[in-house]
Order: sequence, then structure tokens, then C-alpha cells
Amino acid sequence: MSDTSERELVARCRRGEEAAFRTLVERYSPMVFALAGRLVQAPQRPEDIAQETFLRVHRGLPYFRGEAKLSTWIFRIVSNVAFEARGREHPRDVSLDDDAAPVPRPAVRDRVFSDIELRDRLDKALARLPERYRVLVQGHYVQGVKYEDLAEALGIPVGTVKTHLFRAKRLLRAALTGDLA
Amino acid sequence: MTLMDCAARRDELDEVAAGAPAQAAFQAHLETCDGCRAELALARHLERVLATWPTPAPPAHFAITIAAAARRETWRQEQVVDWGFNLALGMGLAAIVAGLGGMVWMVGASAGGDGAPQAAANAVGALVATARAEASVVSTATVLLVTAVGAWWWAEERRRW
Repeated sequence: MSDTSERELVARCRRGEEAAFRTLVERYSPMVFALAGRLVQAPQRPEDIAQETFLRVHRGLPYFRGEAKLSTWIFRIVSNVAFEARGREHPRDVSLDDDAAPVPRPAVRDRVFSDIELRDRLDKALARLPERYRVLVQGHYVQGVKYEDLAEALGIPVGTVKTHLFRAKRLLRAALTGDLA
Repeated sequence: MTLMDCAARRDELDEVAAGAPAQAAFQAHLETCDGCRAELALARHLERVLATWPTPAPPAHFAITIAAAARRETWRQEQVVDWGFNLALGMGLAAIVAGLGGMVWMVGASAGGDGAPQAAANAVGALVATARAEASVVSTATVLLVTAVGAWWWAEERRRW
């Protein structure tokens, strides 16, 4: 969506046009559901996360200054809502130091995972990642989300996004292969 | 092949797993290193699973449901604001009435006269005479009051969904 039409949509929402707000929800709900579905686990429901996200968007629109893209702002809100819903549990101690990431042991390297098995193990491994890494990994694969969006949403440089993504994926690989040991 | 060689190629391994083309040197390393080959296979598998992670689609009428919820929330907030405004307005009016009553009583008492009705009539007469003398101040205050209430009403109407 172009900046102009985004600004116009925000302006119409601010004027209280319900049709404009419905358009905004229709436009951004695929992204919100995709991210919510990736960030929360049962018993939390992505639909509840999405509903709370859009209500916060509605409350916050009068204060939205347009410095960030609307999608980036919404991305940040859905991430916050998802983590609040998870009860802000503290992740288990996982080192953020790249050098400290354990290297998979050769004995377990040849194990072949099925997609379903890997997804199940990955779900547990993701739950153990620090919040920021989890948002990065899952946000990166949501359609339409770019490195720049992640950088803006998390307030870090684009280069750091890439570095952290690689580190997070290494941690995931280490956790997956460690699970099988 | 040492672990140092493998560690030095970890960034490249991540990039190749994410879809970047493998350089000749890295390709040559892969051919001789079972560990890196296995790790690249796992990394690619991880990429595929993350990219195809099942995500729910928004239900039908989701936007309508959310817009209705937002409208209810706005209405509730406005109710609170309206209630507070009405309370403040009521208290203000009560204070004005009490003040006028007090003035009437005080002016009536000082003017003397037979009984309460006469005292009240004297007081009202004195107040009217004062107001006439200060006509410009009274009319300005009235215009300001009407403008303030009108502006509030206009803002309320604009804010309403």
C-alpha cells in the first residue's frame, strides 16, 4: 500500500469513519493472524490476539504519528499482545552469545526429521528462545514482512536483524539436534 | 578438516540455507565435510518448515466484529466522559443557584421590608439594577458561556461514530 493511501486511511479512521477502520482490519488481518498463529500456542487463540491487537490499534490511532509504517506499528502491537498473552514467561537460559551456541554432535547429525516431527520439536525449541529472537524468526517468514520492517519494529539496525536471525536459527538447530541426543 | 574450518564457514552455511548461491570454496568444503553437509541439510529443512508454518486465516466477518467491538468500547468511554461532564455541570449549576440564593438572601436582609416575599422582591430589583449597570460584562459572559457549551456540543458530535 502506498504511503498516501495509508495516510488517507489513517486520517479517515481518525475522523471516526467505521468503514475505513473495517478496511484497515481487512487489509492487515492476514498479517496479524499469521504472526499471532506463529507466536502463540494453545490454549491461547490467534483470534483473541488479533482482536486485542486491533482494539489497541483503534485506541492508538489518534496518537499514531506516521513516523513508522502502519504495518510496522501493527507488527509491534501484535508481538506485544502475543507475549503478554503468554504470561511473559521467562525463557529458559539460552545463551545469546554466538560462540557459545553448541555445535550439533556428529552422532545425531544424520537423523532425518519429517516435517511434522520437526515442527513439533521446533515449536518447543522456539518456546525456549528469547522473545526478540522468536519474533525475528517467526516474523521473518510472515509474507510481506521485510528485514527493514523487523528492524523498525524492534528498534535495531537491519544488519543486527540478519545477525540475530542467523544466531536464532543456529540456536534452534542446536536445540533440535540436542533433543535427539 | 578441523572444527575451526567449519566454524569459519557458519555464516556462509546460514546464507546458503536461506537461498544464497554457494561459492566454489564452500562447495568444495561441503564435499569433504560430512558434518557441514548434514548441518546444511538440517538448516534447509528448518527453512522449509518455518516458511510453511501453518497459520490461521481471519474468519469471515472478522472486520465487522472488530469494528463493532471498537464502537462499543468508544461508546463506553464516551459514557464515562459524559457522566463526568454532566456531574461537573450539575455541581456547577448547583453552586450558581446556591450563590444566587445566598445573594438574594443577603441583599433582601439588608434592604429590610415586610416578610420574605418583600425581601426577595427587593433583592431581585437590586440585582436587576446592578446587572443593567454592568450590561456589557453580563452580555459578554453570556456569549462566552453559550460559545463554550456550543463548542463542546460540536466536538461531541464530531467525535461520535
